[in-house]
Amino acid sequence: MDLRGLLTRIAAIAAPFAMVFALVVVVDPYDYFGWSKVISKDLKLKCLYHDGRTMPFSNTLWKILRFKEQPVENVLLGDSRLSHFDLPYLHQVSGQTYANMGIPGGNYRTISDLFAYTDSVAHLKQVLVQVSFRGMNKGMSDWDIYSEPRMLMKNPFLYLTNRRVLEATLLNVRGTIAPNSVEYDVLPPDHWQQVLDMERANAANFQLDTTEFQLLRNIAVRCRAHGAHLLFVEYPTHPEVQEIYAKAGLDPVMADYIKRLSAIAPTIDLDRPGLFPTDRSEWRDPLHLTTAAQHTVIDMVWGPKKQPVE
Amino acid sequence: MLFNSISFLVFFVVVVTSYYVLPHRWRWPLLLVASCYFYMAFVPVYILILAFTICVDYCAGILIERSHGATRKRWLTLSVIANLGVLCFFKYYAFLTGNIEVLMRSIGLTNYAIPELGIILPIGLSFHTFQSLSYTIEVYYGRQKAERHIGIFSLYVMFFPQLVAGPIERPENLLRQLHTKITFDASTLASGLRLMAWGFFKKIVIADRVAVIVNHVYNAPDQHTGPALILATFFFAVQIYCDFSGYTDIAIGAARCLGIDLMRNFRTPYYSANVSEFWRRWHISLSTWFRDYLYIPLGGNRVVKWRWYYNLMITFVLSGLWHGAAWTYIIWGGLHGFYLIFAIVTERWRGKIGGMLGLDRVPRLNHALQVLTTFILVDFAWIFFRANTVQDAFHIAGHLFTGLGGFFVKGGLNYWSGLLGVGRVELILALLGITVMEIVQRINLRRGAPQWMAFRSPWQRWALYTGLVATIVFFGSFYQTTQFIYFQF
Repeated sequence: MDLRGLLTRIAAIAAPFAMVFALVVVVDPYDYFGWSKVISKDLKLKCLYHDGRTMPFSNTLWKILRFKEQPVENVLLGDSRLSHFDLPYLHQVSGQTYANMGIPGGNYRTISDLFAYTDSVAHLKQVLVQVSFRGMNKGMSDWDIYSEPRMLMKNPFLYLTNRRVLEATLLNVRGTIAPNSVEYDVLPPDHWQQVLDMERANAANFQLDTTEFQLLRNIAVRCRAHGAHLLFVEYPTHPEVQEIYAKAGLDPVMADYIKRLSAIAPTIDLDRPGLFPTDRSEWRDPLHLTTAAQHTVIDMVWGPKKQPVE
Repeated sequence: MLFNSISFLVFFVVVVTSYYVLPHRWRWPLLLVASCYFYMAFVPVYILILAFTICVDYCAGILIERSHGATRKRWLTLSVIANLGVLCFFKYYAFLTGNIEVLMRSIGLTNYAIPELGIILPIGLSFHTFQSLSYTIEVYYGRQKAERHIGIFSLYVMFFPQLVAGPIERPENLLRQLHTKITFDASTLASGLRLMAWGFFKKIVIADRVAVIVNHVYNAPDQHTGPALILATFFFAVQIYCDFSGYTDIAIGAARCLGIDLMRNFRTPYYSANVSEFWRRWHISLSTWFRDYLYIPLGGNRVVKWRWYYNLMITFVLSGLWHGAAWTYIIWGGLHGFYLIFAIVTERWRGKIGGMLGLDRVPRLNHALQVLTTFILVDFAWIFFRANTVQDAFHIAGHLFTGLGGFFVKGGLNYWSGLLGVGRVELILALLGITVMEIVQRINLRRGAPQWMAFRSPWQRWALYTGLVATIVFFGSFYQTTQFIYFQF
């Protein structure tokens, strides 16, 4: 074999990879490079919510990239319950611009990581943390969602070779060529029941993980040092979920949890019986309000129906 | 600089291209500068340690060659003390002082304190110290001429592919090649690249992936029972083999791309039928170093029995200590020493038992049982190698057979991935990676993988190579472990 033969063989092996990388750059499902406009931003956004399996990664990567592009001094941190949050309405009510850093599947570790990230990029003034009693269960914060997107953000090679990015690239291509073949953010028919079953299991094995308070305390210390206003909001759950936790005898644990939270920072508890409607049409599932119903949350935290701070 | 980094990829392409473009007389300066750059990417100031080692052994080599009788031995002793002195100071100071403090406290001297120096262990120190030492010892025995060219000698100690984790080369192999004029050969380059790709597969696709499982269990052993402990110990055997032999393949492949052949370091060690054979197939460059420069000078097996056992034990305990300054490594080495002595003592009995069971009539089954037993013994010893503390190691060893009912839980993949602290996809990928490696190793043992490949059609070869690279690129575990385990030694 001579040099020419060797280079030809290397080129033959490299060619498929060059094509795949070129496809990722052209489609750019997370607007990583921001050069290509082949796929519309709307479709890319819809693809973030295609599959529950990839949602945490997709949302984290998308949101940290957008925050880097346009840092905002007010942030919302939390889990999927912030997913369908109406930011324009919030702006209308509060007069302030917020970045929504709520991540589907997010946990206290994600909240802590994303707080550190946003804090490193912008000088934060308002920090709202959507806290969750159910997320305080032991083991809920084991999953590290943030590290992989963060590494991708630093290293374009990892972005080009990441399996989830490739999956998102193909999904974007499919969504462009055959728009009707892709479903976005569609809940299965028995989803309501699945969530209730999951919550029953969560409540039955509930063990309050006190180490999560330390993560929140760290956020509070940092906010205080930099003059940022920190607020915790315990998000509402459907009365059926409230009943599950009450039956499991967890009401006193929850009261203690709220007390501990309020010792760290001002806290609004929206997960009280009777505060939100039982009508299922107001809910996407027992944990998630519809976008319209979330207006009530905005009104209760920032607007005319302001709830007492604990 | 880590092999599994983009910066190494760029560095390597630049070095190989420049190497073949430059005339022979400029190649050693290129490789020396490249090696310095490679090493200084870790902790720049530690290049001074290498410079010290090089100066001492360069001079010692010439002085040993020039002198005779006791003076000759004196120069060798000086070289050994200087090399081992550096090694002991950087590697064993904290271990030694820590143990002295514990000892003092145990006899009531509570105020006894030795200052901590906060030294970071220079990367690959044990490897290049041993490589440099082998040069002066070989010159002393007259098997090697003293190297007069300080540039070439520096390159012998610092040659970047094997600088930080071996193979621990011998002067008769590497020094000679560094003098040889090498002409470009595309087939050799291709062969080097293939070997590097295979090394990357073992490291990035398998070792770094199973490392997540091992770390999950070994970092909190008291939270796991038998099934998780057994599986994590099995996966550690896979991890350390893929990590170290992967590194070695990359090192040998990289050197081959430059036209230099490094010595073989692994020969499918887990297929060994006894522990003695295992050490002839695992980290060959280190075991032969200990054999040639410690075990044989101590008398080897040509002494009375008790002295033979002593020689074996001391060699393996020191081999353990070479790996790391901790009691876990010493116990690991001692355990291997014990295995070997036990094998010698019981050889006749084992033969009799095998005969009684009729195993000698079914040699294949007999061999398979021996391989399995050897693997279990070696894997058991790995517990001490990997555990964070001696207490952890004994906890794991003592709890291997607890909660074995967990093996029979019908929880499917979700259960196992939950138990091992890793995602389902990651677990499947790890098992697939191990299977592929085993298939390739079987082919390699029977026919030789390169020969097997040569008989494939161009399309098949293209598909296999592209598949290998695609697996590394798209299924490599780039997000967790990156450092090679043996870098710390």
